[in-house]
Amino acid sequence: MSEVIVVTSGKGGVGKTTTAANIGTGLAMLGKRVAVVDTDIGLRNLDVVMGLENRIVYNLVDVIYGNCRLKQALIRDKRYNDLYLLPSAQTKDKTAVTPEQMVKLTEEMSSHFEYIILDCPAGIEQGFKNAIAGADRAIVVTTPEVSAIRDADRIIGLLEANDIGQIDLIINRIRPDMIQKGDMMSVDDVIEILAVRLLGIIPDDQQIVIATNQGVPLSGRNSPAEQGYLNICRRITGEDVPFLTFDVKKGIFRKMTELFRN
Amino acid sequence: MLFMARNSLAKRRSGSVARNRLKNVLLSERMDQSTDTMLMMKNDLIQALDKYFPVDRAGLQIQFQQEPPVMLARIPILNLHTPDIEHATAHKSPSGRTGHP
Repeated sequence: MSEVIVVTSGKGGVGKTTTAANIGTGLAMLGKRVAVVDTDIGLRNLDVVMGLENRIVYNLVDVIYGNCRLKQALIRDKRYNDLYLLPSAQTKDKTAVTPEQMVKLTEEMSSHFEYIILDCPAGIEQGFKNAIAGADRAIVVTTPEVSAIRDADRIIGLLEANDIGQIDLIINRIRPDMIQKGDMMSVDDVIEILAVRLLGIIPDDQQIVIATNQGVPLSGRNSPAEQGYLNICRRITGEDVPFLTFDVKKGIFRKMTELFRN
Repeated sequence: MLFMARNSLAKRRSGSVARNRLKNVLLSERMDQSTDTMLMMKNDLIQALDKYFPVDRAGLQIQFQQEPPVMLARIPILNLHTPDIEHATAHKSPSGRTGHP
């Protein structure tokens, strides 16, 4: 059985690519056979986040145009043998591919992988339509900011209109200290506004920046964001994992604030 | 006293301001009402109400509230105590007054 999951957000810069990379890595750590696909044609960046930029020979557009076989374009991760990247083309633009071709590609990939994670470009135009065409379910990434949430709401509407069966939410870059002060919308506020199922929460974490700089996964840093992503991956596989509860004022909340002070 | 002041201040912290702003903007967006349609509705409201009493057009405010969905309109009225208006309300025959006062 194979599942095609699109990671999308509407607004740019909320952490789609980081999320796609970390979910891919997390699922591979759980022993799943995973492919992450960069569908942002013309603006590729999943390869640099994963540290695989030097290994690209062929790309998604080459596979679709028949310039190479799927296996030739897939890049195996440095650390996890069951994790593969299908990079996007840098020289073409979004109109190089149609939604029908994307459906065909994901169908072909489905026979090789248990999970196919599609990193969607920002916006609601052609690139977005391509990315969601072959998806079984969607993960909407947002941050607790008005602009990101407004775009997430629009994206959720579009996903529903396109009959995406399951839509889940990840709230990224949470600052528990600011929520406690009342200067950031809480997790409950965001869920109440968007009215979708919460898949996970990721605290704002310097380790994300550091890991991205190095082009390595978060794993082994024992950071709050890594814990958040690992929980998300376990939930994707159907496990019931409790959320990192920041609204419990004593306990984790205090631990978190201390963490941020350090 | 100071505690109460701080409390009321806390209610208007930026987090809840963001929440309320979002709720309003999303409700109207979900109702598929662009800013243009909102403007048209405002104008229609003013025109309808203006037949009965003079409305402060600049001060008209419309807000949407979720759960239950309610549209709240704050419509300031001008010169309610002028004899002309009192006369009109006393007779309860606004239907005769079609134009602007």
